[in-house]
Amino acid sequence: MKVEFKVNDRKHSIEIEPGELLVETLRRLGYKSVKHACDTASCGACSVQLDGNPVLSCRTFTAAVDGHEIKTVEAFSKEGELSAVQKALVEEGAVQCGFCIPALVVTAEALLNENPNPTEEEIKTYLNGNLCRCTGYVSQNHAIMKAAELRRNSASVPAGNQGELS
Amino acid sequence: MDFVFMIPNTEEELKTQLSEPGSFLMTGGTDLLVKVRIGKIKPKRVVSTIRIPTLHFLKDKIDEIVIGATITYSELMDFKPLIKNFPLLYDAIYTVGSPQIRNRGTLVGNVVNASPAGDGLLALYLLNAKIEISDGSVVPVEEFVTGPGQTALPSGEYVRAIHIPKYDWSVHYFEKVGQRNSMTISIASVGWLIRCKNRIIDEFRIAYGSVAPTVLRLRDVEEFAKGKHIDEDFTHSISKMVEERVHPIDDVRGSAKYRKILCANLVYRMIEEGTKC
Ligand SMILES: Cc1cc2nc3c(=O)[nH]c(=O)nc-3n(C[C@H](O)[C@H](O)[C@H](O)COP(=O)(O)OP(=O)(O)OC[C@H]3O[C@@H](n4cnc5c(N)ncnc54)[C@H](O)[C@@H]3O)c2cc1C
Repeated sequence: MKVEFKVNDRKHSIEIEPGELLVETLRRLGYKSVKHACDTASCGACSVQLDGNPVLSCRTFTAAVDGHEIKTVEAFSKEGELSAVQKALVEEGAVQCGFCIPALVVTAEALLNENPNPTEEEIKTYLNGNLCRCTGYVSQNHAIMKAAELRRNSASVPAGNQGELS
Repeated sequence: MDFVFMIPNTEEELKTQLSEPGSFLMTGGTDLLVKVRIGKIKPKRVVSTIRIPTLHFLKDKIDEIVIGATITYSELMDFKPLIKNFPLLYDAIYTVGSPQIRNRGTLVGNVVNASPAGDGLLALYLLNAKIEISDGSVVPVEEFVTGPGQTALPSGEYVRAIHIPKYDWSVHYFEKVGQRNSMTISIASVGWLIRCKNRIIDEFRIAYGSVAPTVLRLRDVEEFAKGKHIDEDFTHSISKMVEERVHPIDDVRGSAKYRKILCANLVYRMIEEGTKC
C-alpha cells in the first residue's frame, strides 16, 4: 500500500507492507537515529514525535501515520548547530554510550514545548519511558533543566519596544 | 509481521471487516502489538479504529461524561471536566506507562484488555462506569469484564464509548505499588472514594487491583463503612477485612503473602484522608 507522510519537514511518498512498523520504515528511509532495540515498548529508544507528541515507533504501524508528521532527532539541530537540549546534554556529560540519546532528545524537546519551565520531578516523570543504562539519569535531568532555562532566556529576548507603541 | 492491516473510515466498514475470522481490533496497539510480538496471538487481520471520526469524541453532559473509543490517555488528561469531576481517574491514568504510551494507548483498550492490573480499569470500577457496545447495549464495567483478559463483548462487535456518571466525593485516593516507580505493572493497587462530613462516612467505595482474577470491589467493606467515624479503630477493622477478602496469587512481581499484607497496610493511608472531611 502507498502512504505519504513528512519526516523532519521532508515529504515521503512510499510503498509499504500493511503490517510494517514505523521504526522499520524510518530506518529503511535512512533515519538510523531511530533505534530498533527492545521491540516490546519498554525501552523508549525508538521514540519519535508524531504531530509533536512522543510515541514509540516500534509499536506504531506506518500505515497509521499516513498524512501525519514525524520528527526524529535530526529535526532539532538547525544547519549543523545543536539545539539547546543537545548542547546541554553534551555539556553536562549526560551522554555515554549514546544509544538512548536520539530518543531522549526527541522526548525532552516535546516536554519543553509542552512545559517550558518543568521541575526536576516533572522531568523525571515525563522521561520515565526513556531508559538509559549508562548515566543514572542525574546528569540528564540537570541537562534538561539547563536547556529549559536557556530556551526561556532566548525566548524572552525583547522583540522591539512594543510597550511604547501601544 | 504476517497479517493484513486495515484502517476503515466508518463504523459500517469496521463492522464488515471485523466479521472476517481471525480479525483483531486495535486502537493504540500498546497491548495488542506487544502480544503479537511475543507470539501470544497470531492475527490474520488487524483492524484499526483510529480513522473513524464517530469514535473520536468527548462529551461533558450534566450527569455524566462520555469518552469515545479512540480517545487517548493524553487527550483525556487534557479534557478539563475529567480532572474537575473525576480526579481519581486522572490520578490513575497518570501512572500508565510513559508519555509515549499515553499518547497512543486508550482507556477503552485498557477495559477490553481486562487485566486485573489495569489502572484505568480500577478507577472505572470505582466510578460505576458503563461500557457502550456497538450493538446498542450499555453494560456496567463490572459485568463487562468476566475474567482475566476476558469480556462479555459479543464477537463481531466493538466498544463505542465509556460512560461515567458524575457524583460528588469528598475524598478520592489511588495508589499503585510496583517494583519500581515508573513504567511499572502493579504488584497491588488500591483506590477509594469517600463521601463524608466531620469524619463520618456517608458513602464509601473501595477496590483493589492485581489481587484477584479481575479488579475487586469490596462491597461488604463498603457497607460496613457506612456511618462510621474515620479513625484508627475504623482503619484497623477495614484492614482486617481487606486481608481476609483479597485472594492474590504468587507471580514474578510478588508473592501472595506479600500482596495480602500490602493490601491490608495500604488501608492505613485512610487515616490521613479522614482529615479532609
Ligand atoms: C510499556 C508499557 C507500559 C504500560 N503501563 C501500563 C500501566 O502502567 N497501567 C496499565 O493499566 N496499563 C499499562 N500498559 C498497558 C496498555 O498501555 C493499556 O492497557 C492501554 O490502555 C491499551 O490501550 P490501546 O488503545 O493501546 O489498546 P490496544 O492494544 O489497541 O487493544 C487492547 C485490547 O482491546 C481491544 N480493543 C481495542 N479497541 C477496541 C474497541 N474499540 N472495541 C473493542 N475492543 C477493542 C483489542 O483487540 C485488544 O484486545 C502498558 C503497556 C506498555 C506497552
